[in-house]
Amino acid sequence: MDMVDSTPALRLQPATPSAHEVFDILARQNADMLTTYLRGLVHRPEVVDDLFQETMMVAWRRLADYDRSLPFGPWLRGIAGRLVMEHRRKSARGMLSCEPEVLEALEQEFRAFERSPADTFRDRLDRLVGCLDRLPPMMREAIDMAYGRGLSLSALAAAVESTEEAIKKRVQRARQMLGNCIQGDGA
Amino acid sequence: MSEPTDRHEFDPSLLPEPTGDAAHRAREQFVHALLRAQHEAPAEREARLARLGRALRADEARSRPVWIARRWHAMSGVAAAAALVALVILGFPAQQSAIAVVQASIRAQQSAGDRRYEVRVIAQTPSRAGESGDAAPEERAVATVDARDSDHLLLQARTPWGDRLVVGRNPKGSWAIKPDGTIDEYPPAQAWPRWANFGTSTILLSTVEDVLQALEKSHTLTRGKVESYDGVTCDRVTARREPGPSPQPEVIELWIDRGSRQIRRMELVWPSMPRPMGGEFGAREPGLRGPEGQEPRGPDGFAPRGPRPGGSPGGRPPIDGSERPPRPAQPMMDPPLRERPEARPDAPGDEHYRPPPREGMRPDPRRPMEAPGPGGVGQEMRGSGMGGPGPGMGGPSRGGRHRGPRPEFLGGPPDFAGGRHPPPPRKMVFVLVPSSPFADNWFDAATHAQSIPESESDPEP
Repeated sequence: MDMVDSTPALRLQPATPSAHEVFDILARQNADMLTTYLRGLVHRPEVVDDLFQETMMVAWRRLADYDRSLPFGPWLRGIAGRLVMEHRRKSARGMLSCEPEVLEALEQEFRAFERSPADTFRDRLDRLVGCLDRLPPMMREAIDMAYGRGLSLSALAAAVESTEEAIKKRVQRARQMLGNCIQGDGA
Repeated sequence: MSEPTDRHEFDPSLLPEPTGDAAHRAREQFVHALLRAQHEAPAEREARLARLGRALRADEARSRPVWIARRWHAMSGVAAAAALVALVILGFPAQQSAIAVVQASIRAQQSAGDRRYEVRVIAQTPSRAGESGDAAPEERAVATVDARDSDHLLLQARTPWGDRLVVGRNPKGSWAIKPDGTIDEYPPAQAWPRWANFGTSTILLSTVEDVLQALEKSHTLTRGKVESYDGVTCDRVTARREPGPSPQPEVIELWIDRGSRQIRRMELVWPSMPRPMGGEFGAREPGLRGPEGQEPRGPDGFAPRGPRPGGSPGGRPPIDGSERPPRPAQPMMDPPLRERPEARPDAPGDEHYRPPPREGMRPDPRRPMEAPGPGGVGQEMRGSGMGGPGPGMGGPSRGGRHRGPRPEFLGGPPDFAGGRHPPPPRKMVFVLVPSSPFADNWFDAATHAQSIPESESDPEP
């Protein structure tokens, strides 16, 4: 059962103890998703953390506005997207593409991802593992070094005895293949 | 797959580049984010959630505005007095004939449609040294509760110190009106007096399930003879609490319309409060002064907002209350809301409903201050209501004294007899008053946001 989709059944009474508890549950259920969403738009970890907290705080304060007939996740992402845009107006440093059309496309990515049967967002990440296993070894190695071990581009290039440009292309290509695999477009 | 790494270890040179169309970029950024999430250390997630939890708690404490605290403070005596009204109502034991009446009434309440209850309070009999104590009890209308169903509620109250409390609930959620007339769409739970709010129900809208669930304990329910109340034939039900210390009312009297099954009148009666620290044993007197470190309160538990008459310039009240002037004779009660057409939701100009300051409950802030009485500024207002309005009525005190901690009883049942909480009133009465169907927007915050003139709001320092 999708826990996110089950949230509309919960009765929210802002500022009552039960609402606080419910929100705490919702926050925990959606924390990984929200962090991931923000990481898809912002690189700097400290900014991700700040925006995460700001998003949750806004959601908490605006809980009365939440349409309980809809899932909580998209509503949360809507808040986050606006905050990201706002942050970008102040500072574009460390930002990935976050034009409105990209935000819209990213939202579609998340919605498609959330349609997969799983209890939690983290459970859905298991699909990523399966897709990684299907990558060509060189690409899988590059992804592992870049994301798992945190090697810099230069270190990675040196480790695999390749050029930085080639590594960048390899990582980029690997991400595209992973995306197609995860979203069921075929890898 | 390698172990999770520190979050900082990702080379920005490897970030997705802004090439391709939006869908292409979004897809790659999405995968990038998933990969980052996959390698996030659990401790990092927990730290983020812990930080959020701290921020939420801090925000909750910070966002509870002073006006709410003040209003709740002022209302808290009454609120405490009836804090467990719902429990009492729900606590009827199984005396079938009586409980059947109550159950039928509660069902009727749930489908009764628009209705208004006036809430009246009778203070504890004055028992101060030097006072006879046999003065006629003062009954005072302190609030109205408008109800349509469990999702449509409106409570309007005014404390003796002029604070107007407007809180409501509609299907969109709870709301409150700030002193400046603006809407707080996210009011803290404390905005609702406890006697009006019992979880998702209210004392006037308790569900049968609630009743059955709490069918127990403290009160013995008996059915009395049929009586006529206000020209309506009513079943009489009396609930009497078992002996023993309890913050709950000692007796609850119900008048239930035999035809509609609606509660026409409900009286909650508390016994006379003992003097835990007053009289010959000490300096304190219940209702006039709280325990050390707590607010002084009127006999109904209302906390005054300004310096007491005869108090120090800094607002510090006299120690034993002896400087407080005797309460002058007063009319029995304020004009009920139902008698004031401007207070009716169906009154002309209802959209801009603006009840005038109620005589005896709040002075007109625009009116020049009267000469202070012998007891000090504002003393002439004292006694016009239970507990009297706070002194210094020309403007609410913003001294530090009344910015103290919130009443302790919020965390649990009030302890009246122990002197740790302000005592309850002697009696609290809910009376069904005539009302026309409320306007569709009557339970919307916007309807009432317009109704508090700025001049009546609490000017923040």
